[in-house]
Amino acid sequence: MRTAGRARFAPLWGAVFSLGSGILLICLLILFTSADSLATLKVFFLGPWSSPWFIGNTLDMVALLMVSALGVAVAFRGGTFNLGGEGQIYLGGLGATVVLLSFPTLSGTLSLLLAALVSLVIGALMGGLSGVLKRYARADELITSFLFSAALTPVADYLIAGPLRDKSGSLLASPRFAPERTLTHLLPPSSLSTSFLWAIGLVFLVYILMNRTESGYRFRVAGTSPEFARYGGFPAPAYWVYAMAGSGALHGLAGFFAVAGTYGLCHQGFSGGLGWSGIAVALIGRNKPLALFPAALMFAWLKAGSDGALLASGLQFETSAFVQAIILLLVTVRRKP
Amino acid sequence: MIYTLLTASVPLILAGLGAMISDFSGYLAVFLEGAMMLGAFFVWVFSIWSGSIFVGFIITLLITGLMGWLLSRFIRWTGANPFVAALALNIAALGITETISVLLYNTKGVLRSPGFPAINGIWFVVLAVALVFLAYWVIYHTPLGLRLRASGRSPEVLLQRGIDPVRYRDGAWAVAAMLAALAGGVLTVKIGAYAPGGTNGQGWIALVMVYLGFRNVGGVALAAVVFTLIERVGIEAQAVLAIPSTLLLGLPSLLALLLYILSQLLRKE
Repeated sequence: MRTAGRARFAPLWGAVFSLGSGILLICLLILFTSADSLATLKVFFLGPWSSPWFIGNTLDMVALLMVSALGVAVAFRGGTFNLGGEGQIYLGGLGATVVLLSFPTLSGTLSLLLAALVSLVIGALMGGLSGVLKRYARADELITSFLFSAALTPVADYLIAGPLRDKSGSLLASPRFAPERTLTHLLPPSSLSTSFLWAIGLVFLVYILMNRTESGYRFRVAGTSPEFARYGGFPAPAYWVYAMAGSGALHGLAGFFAVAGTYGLCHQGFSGGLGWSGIAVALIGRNKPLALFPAALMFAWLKAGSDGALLASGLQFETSAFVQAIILLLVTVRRKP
Repeated sequence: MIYTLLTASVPLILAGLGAMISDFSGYLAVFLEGAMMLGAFFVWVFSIWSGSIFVGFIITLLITGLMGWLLSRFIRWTGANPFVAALALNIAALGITETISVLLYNTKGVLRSPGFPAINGIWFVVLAVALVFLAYWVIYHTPLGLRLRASGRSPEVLLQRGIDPVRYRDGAWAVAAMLAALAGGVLTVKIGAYAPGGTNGQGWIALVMVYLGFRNVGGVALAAVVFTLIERVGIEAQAVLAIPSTLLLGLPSLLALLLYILSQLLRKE
């Protein structure tokens, strides 16, 4: 397990192969289950780009995927594996919700900034705890991050269904935020918001920090070859804490973008699968920040297309689980079978 | 009292045993949660279909065992990352159970049926105890068990003798998947219905049992019983304190986390 956690970066072949298989799987599903398979196939491939509304929603999904995948990649590059992303996104979004619903005297921008900060801190604390435990207690960060997130998820469920719930609505969700307390929507009525621009900014920021600074170089060396780092005088364990905290912070921010940008409120289970998709996207992008954009784009296309195709063909089961599963299964493949 | 405790801890003992066996091969099976989910679902489907719990379990074990074996073989063929590929099974299990449930029963919710055969819980306790002893004997007293232990703990020994240590993962993962599926099936039979998400992270907690049991077979079984005991005490205490039941769902994970940290701190090295 210790060695397994250090995922060796798969070659490009794995990314192409897994995405191709994902597309093929969906196509086969459509061919076998849909009455009018040609029309459904068209919806699958072109649906996500067929109108400004669909384009907006797809790009918004790209933004969320990019931020959470960036979090996964930061953990990977620092020599750790963050499995608690799902809970960090959820709790981060919840923290942002609490801020956005209180402090009525604050201006919109300030409350958004504060909400982003709170979500970032919550995520960083959750991830950082696993890093600290790995460093000082030799506890596997995979297990601790997953369990910590699993233990806190019911707490968030409870808060959303209880104290934070909008009593007037039938949804298990918080009240809507005031309009000036949500991120500006770029392509209304789609869910695309300025979070897309922030996500791109974050990708470049992480790229510069990791690839263009001395501490970034140390961070990467500590992640890929701890022995070499030790000889260089910067022992890797310190970097585990940074990697996990940074990863958690980015996941928390993804939660903020989801509630303040995409939904404009916080509903129970809003993070549904975003953390796992983030792992898939990060592996497709081979944990390189700049490669995450095409990876997230392809993944969002695949996901939005398959959701649309299923809706069009009237089938009611989830394909996103299959898409995630087949990509995780194949993305690290190194040898051609 | 002891009987209730033992029946309650059967799923965790079985899944923990599976985790332990996979850990001996050097690759902890992180797909146990998915295998448990599949087990819980398939036992329901095949028991209803055949009218017999026994047949239901046999078919389920064959399917899940094959899945664990194939996954390990696939990783060996393609050089994929064993950890990431095993995670895929967890997510796939979610999709598989949901899809089949919709296709067969037209619902994603809880499955109930008067046609589901009932069985006395004592048999599961007997089975679990027997399996623990069997595993103990195979792992510590047969050449196969010796090689299995060597494959994870000191693979170079096997390499020098001309045996590929990774080969032992195939069997270990197949057995781990079967034990986890058995645990899932026991959950289904115990409540007489299939509830989606009823495994509630027990597959992950089973992985923690490996560390709480200090990585040996008897320890894991004991850890599972003690863990269940503490969990029950916690639930009773929370009932007295009138804490919302939603929060209780997080209790096992929190408890596993705390005990895991404690065991890692106590570990001598």
